[in-house]
This record gives sequence, structure tokens and C-alpha cells, in this order.
Amino acid sequence: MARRLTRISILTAMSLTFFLFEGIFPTPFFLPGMKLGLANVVTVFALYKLENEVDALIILLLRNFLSVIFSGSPTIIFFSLSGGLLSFAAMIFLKRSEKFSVVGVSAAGGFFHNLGQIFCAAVLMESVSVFFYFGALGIFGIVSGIFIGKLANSVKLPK
Amino acid sequence: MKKNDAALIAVLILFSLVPIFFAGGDKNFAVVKISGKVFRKIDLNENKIFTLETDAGKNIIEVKDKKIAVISADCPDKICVKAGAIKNVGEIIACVPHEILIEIGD
Repeated sequence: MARRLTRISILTAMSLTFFLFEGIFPTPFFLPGMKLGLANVVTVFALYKLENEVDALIILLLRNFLSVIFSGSPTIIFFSLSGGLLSFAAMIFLKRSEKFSVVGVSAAGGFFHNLGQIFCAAVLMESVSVFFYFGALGIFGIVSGIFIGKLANSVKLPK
Repeated sequence: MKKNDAALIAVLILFSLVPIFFAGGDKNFAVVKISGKVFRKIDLNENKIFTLETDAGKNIIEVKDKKIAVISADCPDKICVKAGAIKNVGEIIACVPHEILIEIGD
């Protein structure tokens, strides 16, 4: 139990650090909010390497709530949660199907993360035109998801 | 990476491209929406600067060279300012804290 708690705590702190670190830099890509999502390396890692899958969800939720406090921008919680939860649901479904490797699952995670955020934007802005962004965002999510999957897979869980 | 992964990624890329086929509109106009309702239609052929004031805050909007941009805002994240100038149909600038949406096309 102590080990489980420690791992959740450390991974949450790491995820939050990645999130804030990435936020320091202006987005290098042409769309606002288009970023690699380094914090999700931790989510994918936790989903695959920890004994309990639910721990990955706990880490994701903790990081989302903490990021609101640390970034000082309350509206991002809607985007973080819609993207994060849809992505998590898709990843756990694909992982349990046992038909895909961590790279495929993570690529789908990136795709559904951006899809969730677009849905959230459409609801908040009451506009469907935001979906025109999805061409770029969806593909970008897939590419960053592949990268994140490879990265998460290459890290070992210390005993 | 498994063979299934490649198939999954290909399917996801196809889905990403679907919305592009639905784009359309007139790129001479921009529509400004506040809380989802059309507030104003703007002719992008006239250069101008105006201030949009709502209960939530202030955004200064500039129309220049057939492009529209939010040049200043008092929201915390400034995502609308960072978005820069837009000119193509389907492009948008969103200021979520102020519930303002600017989109090209009428």
C-alpha cells in the first residue's frame, strides 16, 4: 500500500511538472493548444507499468485538478477533463482488447484526447466550426501519441 | 509496433480528415459570436480596430489586410491573442473565458 501510494504521488508530481514545463514555452505549432502533451507520457506509463490500471486514472485526475491551481486558468479544467477522460476510456478499451501494442494504444489516446477537447470547445463556444480544426489536430494527436507511446514503453518501473 | 497498430493508425488518420470535406463559406466576412449568439458580421475588406466589451472583460480586435486578430485581451490565458491573425474559411479565434468566438465565413 505504501509503495502504491508513493508511486501515485511521484508519478502525479512528474506529470504535473511535465505539464507546467511544456506550458512555459509558447506553442511552437500553428494552432493554440496544440502541444505534445508530455504529461501524458506518465498516463500511458502508469496504465501499462503499474499493477492497478485504476492508479493511472487517479494520477490523471489528480494532475488535471492540480494543473488548474498551478496554471491559474480555471477554464482549462473542462478541456483537460474532456480530453483526458475520453482518451483514457479509449486507451483502456484498446489495451484490454489485447490486439494492439502500447504505441497503437497511445496513438489512439492522442487522437481521442484532441477529439474530446474539440467536443468541449464546440459545447463551450456553441459552434460546430471548431471541428474544421480536427483535420490538423487529430493527425497531430496521433503523431504525438506514437511518440509518447514509444517514450513510455522505453522507461522501466523501478522495483 | 504490431501490424494491428498500423491499421488502427490508418483508420484514425482517415477519421481526422472527415471534417475537412465540410468546410465552406465566404472569406470576405468574419462573424463575431458572444455566448454562442451572432453579435456582429465584419467585412474584412475594411481595415479597422474596435473594442469588444462584455461583462467578462475586454478584447481589442483588429481587421487588417483581409485578416482579423485579437490584439489585446484582459483574460488570464491570452490564447485568443496568441492565436494571431486568421483569414481562411473555417479558421477561428476563441476566447473561452469571455465566451467570444470569431470565425471566418458567413
